[in-house]
Amino acid sequence: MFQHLTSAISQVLPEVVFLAAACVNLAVGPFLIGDDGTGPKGLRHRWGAWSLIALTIAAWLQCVPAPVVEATGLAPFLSDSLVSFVRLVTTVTGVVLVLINWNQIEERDSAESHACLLFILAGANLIALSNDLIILFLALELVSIPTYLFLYVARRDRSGQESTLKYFLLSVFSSALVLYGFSILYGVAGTTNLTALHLVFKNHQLTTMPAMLLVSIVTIVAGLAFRITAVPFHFYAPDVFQGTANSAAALLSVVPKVAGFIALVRILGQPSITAAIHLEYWSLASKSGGLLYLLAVATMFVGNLLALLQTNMRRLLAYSSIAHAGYMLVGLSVAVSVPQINDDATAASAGSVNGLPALLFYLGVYGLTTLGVFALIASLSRPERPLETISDLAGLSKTHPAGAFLAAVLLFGLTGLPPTAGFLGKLTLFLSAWSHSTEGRTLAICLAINAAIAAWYYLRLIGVMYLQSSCDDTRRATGVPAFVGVSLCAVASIALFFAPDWLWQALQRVGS
Amino acid sequence: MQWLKEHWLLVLPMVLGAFAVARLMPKGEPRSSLVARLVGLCAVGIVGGTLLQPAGSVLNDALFFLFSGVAVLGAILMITHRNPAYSALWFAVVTLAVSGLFLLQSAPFLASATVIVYAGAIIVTFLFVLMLAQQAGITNYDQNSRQPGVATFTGFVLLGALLFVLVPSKEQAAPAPITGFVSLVPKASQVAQPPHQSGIPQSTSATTAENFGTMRGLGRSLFGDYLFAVELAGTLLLVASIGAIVIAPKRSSGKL
Repeated sequence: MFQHLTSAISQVLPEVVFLAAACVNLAVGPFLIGDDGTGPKGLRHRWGAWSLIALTIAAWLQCVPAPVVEATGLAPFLSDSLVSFVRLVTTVTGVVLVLINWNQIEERDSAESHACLLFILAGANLIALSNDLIILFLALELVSIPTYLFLYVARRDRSGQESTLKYFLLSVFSSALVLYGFSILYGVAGTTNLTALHLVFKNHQLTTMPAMLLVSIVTIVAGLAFRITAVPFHFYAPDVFQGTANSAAALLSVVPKVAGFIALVRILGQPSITAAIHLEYWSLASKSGGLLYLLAVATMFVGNLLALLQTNMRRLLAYSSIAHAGYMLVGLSVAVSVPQINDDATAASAGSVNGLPALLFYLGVYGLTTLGVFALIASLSRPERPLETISDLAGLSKTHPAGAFLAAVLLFGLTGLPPTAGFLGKLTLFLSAWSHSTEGRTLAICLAINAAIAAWYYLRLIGVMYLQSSCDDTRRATGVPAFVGVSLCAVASIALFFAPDWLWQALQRVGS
Repeated sequence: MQWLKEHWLLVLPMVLGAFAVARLMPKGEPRSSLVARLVGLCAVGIVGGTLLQPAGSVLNDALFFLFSGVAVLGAILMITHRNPAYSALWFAVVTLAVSGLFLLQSAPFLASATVIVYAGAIIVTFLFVLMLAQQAGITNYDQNSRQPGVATFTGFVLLGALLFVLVPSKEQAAPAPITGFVSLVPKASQVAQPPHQSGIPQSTSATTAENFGTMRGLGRSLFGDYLFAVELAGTLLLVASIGAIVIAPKRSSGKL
């Protein structure tokens, strides 16, 4: 009877490694701190290296193909190609975040901070793995609860405390909304297992959807929209990003978005095109398309227009991350709604791009470039010479030429210009929306307009770096670990432009 | 207009209730609003009346309306009271009443767990926090609700949507296949063919009819089907408690 439980553990080995390594941090960490409450010099380097070792072991375990598990009963986990994609994203994100955090964290807090990072990565993986509403909710919390702690220890002054508290309160509120939606979903379907849930709705052939499910979809999407900073649930992001440390802002710009989008994909499921031909067809996915459409349009425009007005770097990047959430919502909205069926459907579908692979590709590319920008700020920022506002960037091409060049590459990626992977990401999203339906074409046009608006503020940053001169011409010092992270991100975003196929081919399998 | 005529029995108590709650919200100097209280009771009464089914066992119905009425009124008093300590106590009343509803649904373990965890542990923690944090008396942000109008409106729109969905109107009642929380999963005893043939995965931990609702069935389900969820919840508690230890003291003044 417990056979499926023992077989399930083999599906989550990388996550077990993360959790075990984090527990070592928590158990050993307090003993390495002196009686005066300060850590010995170099403690943070040891914990950083320990995190990298854990990430390496987990990555090695991911490459070992897990034994094929025959799903019996209510299987708690689900291993498919979406899981391997999310594991790839979290591994890369984890490495870059460890590098950003390396020199930024105080020696005394390094053990807990790195432990939180590992917990968060395990939580993000478990969201993709979960095949059960309860595990999905717990995994979402395993991302957010360590995040509060990570935010707090990264910056303990007043503004850090304020932004941590803001994030804590709104995140708890959004979790409550998600849980409320989940309980309604369970009440209607009578099961918490996601596979069973989708089968129940499919098999029962109810001609109309129970209206209760609409309420649950609205609350779930609203709750998860906090995570992905979709308008109108975005308002906390700029304050929190501005008030917190660079490492925490980098974390917030990527991991909650991955968590939110993957959770939405898992809950809403995908519309099957064959079933769509029947008129009475409905599913959680097909009913949420309109809601996601509205969120996408509002998020893109509000994020980009408000980003034009910003002078603080992290605030600007917060609005930029809101705008990017809007682009990804275009992909999700296309992925969940049933494509228009017309006479030349077969002809169109031959060359068309699916919404889901486009969304996931963009998620990966966005994570890479935005982490790179935060790593660059963390690497070049010094307390006596901060990189807080846009005017601090002036003359960076003289004071740190390599940094300015890498920043230009990464900003090209965020703008969506070749030769970076950001171009391919926006292109695939645009094509997937364009080939989908009439509403999809409207979305695609909105996306193109917004990409043009966004180009203004990204390219302005490059202009400030290269064309304005700084009052202080001495060379900026480099934080080495974070700079390694920047180089990694920049090289990867260029490499993905020239060889996108290995990722794209893997993503094609997710949709089917 | 037509829509209003059909659903006035739902719209009216919502409007009355929203008026009463918005009026009772703490604001500045203390005041007693007898009108608002009466209107609020009226609204609760109307909703209760619409939910009343003609056929049903008298005792069951009486207990249901007792518990749910206490829960609703306790919740309203909780959000409108000026003193947070009293609010915490009203919250205890709400959880006790909800535990009674759980008992009616033959979930004795859930009921007792709710009493122990919520009415016992959590409310006491709330009261401790309030006593420690408020030695200087009640603060301004406890006496004034910030945006009573918007908050009440949002809450009642959600409540109205839920009631609209759950309470079938007279015309819809006949054809609608499901009118509320109905389990769509066929129980093992109801399906003709074995569960694995219907395609929907079933529990392997044998939640059969005889141990459904018992502690034995619950334990098998909790540590069988949901073992990983239990482990994950344990991990979460570990992170939360360590986090509290890290955040609480100033490290410069001590070892922690």
